[in-house]
Amino acid sequence: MKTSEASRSRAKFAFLLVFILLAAGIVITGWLYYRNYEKQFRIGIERQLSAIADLKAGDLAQYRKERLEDGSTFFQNAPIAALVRRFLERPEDADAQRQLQTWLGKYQPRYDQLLLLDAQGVTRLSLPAGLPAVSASVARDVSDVLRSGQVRFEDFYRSEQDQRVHLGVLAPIFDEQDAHQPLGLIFLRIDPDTYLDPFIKRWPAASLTAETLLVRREGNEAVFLNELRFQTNTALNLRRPLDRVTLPAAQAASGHEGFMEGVDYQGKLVVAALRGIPDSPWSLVARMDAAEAFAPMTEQLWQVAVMTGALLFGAAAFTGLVWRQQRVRFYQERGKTTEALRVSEVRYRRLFEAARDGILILDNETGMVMDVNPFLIELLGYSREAFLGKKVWELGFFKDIVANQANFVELQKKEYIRYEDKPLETSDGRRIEVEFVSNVYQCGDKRVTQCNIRDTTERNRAEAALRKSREEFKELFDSAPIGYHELDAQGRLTRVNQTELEMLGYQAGELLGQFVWIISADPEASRQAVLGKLNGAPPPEKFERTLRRKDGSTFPVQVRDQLVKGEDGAVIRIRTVLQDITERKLAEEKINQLNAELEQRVTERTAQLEAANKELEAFSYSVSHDLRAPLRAVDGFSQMVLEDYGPLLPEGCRQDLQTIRNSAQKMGKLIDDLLMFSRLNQLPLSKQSVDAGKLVRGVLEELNSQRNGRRIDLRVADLPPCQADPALLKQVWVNLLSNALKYTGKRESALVEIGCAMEKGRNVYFVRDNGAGFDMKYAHKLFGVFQRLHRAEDYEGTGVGLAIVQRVVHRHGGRVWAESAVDRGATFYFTLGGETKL
Amino acid sequence: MSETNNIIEILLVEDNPQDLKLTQRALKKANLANHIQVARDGEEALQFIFCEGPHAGRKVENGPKVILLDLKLPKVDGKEVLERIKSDPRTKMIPVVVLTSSKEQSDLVESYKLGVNSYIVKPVNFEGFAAAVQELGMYWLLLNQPPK
Repeated sequence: MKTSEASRSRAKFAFLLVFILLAAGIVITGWLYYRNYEKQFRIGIERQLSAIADLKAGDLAQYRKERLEDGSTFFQNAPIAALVRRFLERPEDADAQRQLQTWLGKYQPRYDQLLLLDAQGVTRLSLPAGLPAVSASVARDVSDVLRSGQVRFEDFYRSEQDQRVHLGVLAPIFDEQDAHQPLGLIFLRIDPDTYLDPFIKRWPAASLTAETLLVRREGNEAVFLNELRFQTNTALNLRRPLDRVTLPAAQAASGHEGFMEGVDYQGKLVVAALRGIPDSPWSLVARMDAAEAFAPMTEQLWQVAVMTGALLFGAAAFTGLVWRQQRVRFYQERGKTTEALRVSEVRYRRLFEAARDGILILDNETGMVMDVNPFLIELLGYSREAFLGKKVWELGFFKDIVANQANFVELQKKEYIRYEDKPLETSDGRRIEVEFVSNVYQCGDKRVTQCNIRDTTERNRAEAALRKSREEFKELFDSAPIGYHELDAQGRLTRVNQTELEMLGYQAGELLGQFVWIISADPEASRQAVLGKLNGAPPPEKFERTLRRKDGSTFPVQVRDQLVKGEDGAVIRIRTVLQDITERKLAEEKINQLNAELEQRVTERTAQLEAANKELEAFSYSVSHDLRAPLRAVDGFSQMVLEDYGPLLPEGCRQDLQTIRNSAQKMGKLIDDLLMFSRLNQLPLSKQSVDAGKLVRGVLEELNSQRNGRRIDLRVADLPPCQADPALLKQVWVNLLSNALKYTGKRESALVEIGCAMEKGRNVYFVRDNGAGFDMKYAHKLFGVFQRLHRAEDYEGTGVGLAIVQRVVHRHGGRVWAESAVDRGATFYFTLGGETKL
Repeated sequence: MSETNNIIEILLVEDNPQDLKLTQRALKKANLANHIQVARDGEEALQFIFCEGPHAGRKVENGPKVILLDLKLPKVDGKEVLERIKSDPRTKMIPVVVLTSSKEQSDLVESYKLGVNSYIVKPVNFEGFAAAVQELGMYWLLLNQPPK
């Protein structure tokens, strides 16, 4: 709150500062603008007044010059001089008088009085008539003018006769023959009211206060020479001391020229341009009331002031608005903060009340209990009132910790204390183990001690259990039947179990801290392997090593490593499990030896078998070659007897000879079949893709002669191709199909079906006939060599055909079987490959 | 002795007397029995063909038109006889027909490699045997045109 007050006043100050700066900026800008305007305006006024003053001064100078020229007309004018002399010598000379009056009359419009004075200053002739005497001030100058012999101006003077102000021109008249002989003077009197004042007063622009005034210096005074606009009877009457520096007239009379501001004869502030009139004692003042001159400026000042005021008001309003918004925001935020504080207070209050630690809050100065949480009340079994307002050492159950005020002072000094070995006593006399922690902190303007009391009974129990568990683990670790060790990131042993120590014959102290490769039979190889793993080489899951015991003997172990990686992925530890495999190694050696022996025996047996095979081959060769020769002789010679002596022999004898021949021929057939059967196992199997349909059609064609013209219904289904040795497979089909033809021999309408069915993903080829069939109880004999289920008289045959079929099918990895019933035909099935031999 | 001067058309090499008699009977049946020379073993056959020993008076060039050769022979084996005949430029043009009891594939292949002109397995059945002998005699003696 304090800080927010401070920030508020700071903000206020900042806003004020901003406003002051803004206002200062505005005022200064306004002022500078006005000053500039004023400067320009003054220059304008000055120019205006100066121009008027110059104009007037020029006009006045011109006026004086013209008047002097008027005087000069009489001066050094011989006819005039002659006329004057004539008139003065003989005043009765009317002609001269008339001529002079005519002369003078020419100038009458510009002068109010024209006089002819004699050298003594007495008026002798006048226009208008009347012969008035000249004013004393003029009379005083007469001798001067005559002496100087110059036309001169008679400056403003007050006439004694009419009390009016006049001025004039004095022109001396000298004798036309003798230039040094003065005759008299002509005085041309001017009435300024009539001739000069309107001219002076005339102002070229309309103005309420502007006027021109003429002054001259008389001693230490400035004398006003003309009648003024705002005061009467001023000519030669109004005088002001020259030291009135603020008075423009005084300044002008002092000979200053230029522009000034000052206070005029009325005491008003004025602006004025001062000019001296050349060749005269006059100075001219063109003046105007400052009020009028600067009226537009005042107006401008007002405008600027109003504008500045408006701007100031705007700035104030803007700053105020922003300030107000700031305030609104501030209050909104303060509102939020207050709400947040309230929420926080509730939250911490709940924390305090729901805490599973006892909390006691003490006034750090007095040791008085300020608050206690419900948990502590419940833990110790006292009521809340038993705590509140008590000094902590009066509570009793803290007597081991804070027994008296002195202890509390101690605690105040330490600020933080912690006890674990000082149990508390509850209201019902139980002692509970607690962890007591207290610390001091600032809370507002108060220092507060907070005591946290944690019931550690449960924790102590858990720690005891953990300790026990650790001991059990250690026992397990040490008594496990396998070796176990751990390596640090440098490959040093940090942990070795008892089993491994016993395996190696070391004490723990002798191994811990040593590099692991000192226990290897090949330390260098082991060192490289371990360092490789520590550098991140993936370890084999399992491998074998030979270790060296302390006594130098070696033994084989099986090792399994587990790499422990740190957060950065680097290997920081290796855990290794070792198993002594001496026994297994011995067993393996024994097995290897037995295997070698077995191999030897197999080799020997194979050689024997090969020899036997050779013998068998030689045997079948001689059977094929030698057994048939006598049979051929038996048959041939019987035939010879029949051919040569047939007609001589009785019928019975001829039949017997025929029987001999038949027997011999049958034996020949038997020999052929047997040889073929025995050769089946010797020939190599050359499997290839065989078009079964085409093969069957070929076989049926070859067997056509066996049909002996019988009508046989042959139904051949589409047969899928197969993988087989074509020559051997053909023999299978020949045998099965010739059997079918043979055993349907006694059927009126023989039916032979050939087809293929899918069974368990394999092609099962079959040959079905409606022939003699057989009794299924002899089915097991069906495929044996020389096994026959029919009498030779009924169906001739050697009993080798089906044996050949079975052998070929088996060699292809297939199976052959038959289904039949006596006189109901038979079906022979076979598969090729994809089946274990039966 | 007059026979030795005659042109010999068939040399029959056969050790088995029964087979010999049967063969001769079969040839006779086919009217081919007139100009037959019989050799009872391989050695005798070679002496006759290459005019050595008892046949030194003959000329090799006047050899038989066809030789019927058994494979299993005493002293010198039938295959060896075949090899000698086929490797000698004077005799290699003479057609040789192997007439044997052996149905062994190896015998057959080997004989053809050595250049045999026909290979005939003697059947047990006499009619078959007679027919085979007659056929081959007709072919090699009457139909075949040897190069001049």
